[in-house]
Amino acid sequence: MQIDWNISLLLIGMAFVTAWSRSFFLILGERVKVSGWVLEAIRFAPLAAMVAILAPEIFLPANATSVTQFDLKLPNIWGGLAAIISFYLTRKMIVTLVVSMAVFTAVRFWFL
Amino acid sequence: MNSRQQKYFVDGFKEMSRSGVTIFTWGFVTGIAMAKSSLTLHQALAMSLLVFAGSSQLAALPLIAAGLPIWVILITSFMVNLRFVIFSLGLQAHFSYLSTWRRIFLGYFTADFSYLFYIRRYPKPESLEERHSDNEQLRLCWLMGMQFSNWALWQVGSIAGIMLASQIPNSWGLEFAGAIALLVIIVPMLDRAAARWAAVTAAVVAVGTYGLPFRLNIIFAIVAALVVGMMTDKSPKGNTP
Repeated sequence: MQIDWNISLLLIGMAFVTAWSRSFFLILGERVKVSGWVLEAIRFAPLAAMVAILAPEIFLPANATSVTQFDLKLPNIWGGLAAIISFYLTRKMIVTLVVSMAVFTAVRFWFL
Repeated sequence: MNSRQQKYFVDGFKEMSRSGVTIFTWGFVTGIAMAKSSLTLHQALAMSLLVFAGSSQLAALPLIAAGLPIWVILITSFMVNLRFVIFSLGLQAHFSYLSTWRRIFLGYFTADFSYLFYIRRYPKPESLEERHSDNEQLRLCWLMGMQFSNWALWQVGSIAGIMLASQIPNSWGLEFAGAIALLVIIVPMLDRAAARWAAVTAAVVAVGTYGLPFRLNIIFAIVAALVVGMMTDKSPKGNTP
């Protein structure tokens, strides 16, 4: 097996970046005291982060670089809407996946 | 671990495993992306096991293929991970009493879902008196159970994706399945008006600023959602979605 040292170094560096970013303030330990209003303010942060990761996947094409590529012909949008409706009605993961994938695939073959 | 601690660990494991399909799907999609990139099989496996951060892995792949210098890729990784810096504020309030190494390990293993579920169950840190009487650290056991489940499900999905990538045609639209799997986690959190406003704001801002580098659209979306969330939240303080 040939080892590419550049890649090895990069991957170890990225592992450190994961640890450093996720424990950024935690590393400081008891030297800092996070005040109540900060905790109060960031309580929607995890929800917002997940929505922010998800929304472009639904509303923009796969390799989009900006919002100008928004297009109603995009199958993701219709599949996403179908997913929201079917999950709202059934609360079942599998039903939601099947329905939304069906709509996604149908719209894709329709417009292509 | 004593039996109560074990029970909390197992409970945490089960809590996270309920989102197993979602974690597996995202791992799988990330694994496929790594296998189809310029990385070799061993490099892709090493990346999955070492880096354990899907969004920063996905952001790094095209940069590696383009042959950019290591420091550029590392800075990009950090920028893509900025949301975890915000989450680490919350972790700090809960776990600042642990030893340095345990804090670093705890941070490394606390990905999106672990933080989300933990802070939903325990919105408030323990007071000093509570912590002195709680020498079993049950909250920590619960979080570690979730982390273990999250890590294992992610790695299984990711490694399966790496191994099976050549068998999976692009036309299946697996990325879309991953998005729907995430949607299913998000929708139940929208149980209050403030959460819905925050989510709509985050969605609009994240799409509108998608052209920004380093996935900074996520950070802009979080900041905007926090402001809107605070303005629209009329419920008693301390409730977390």
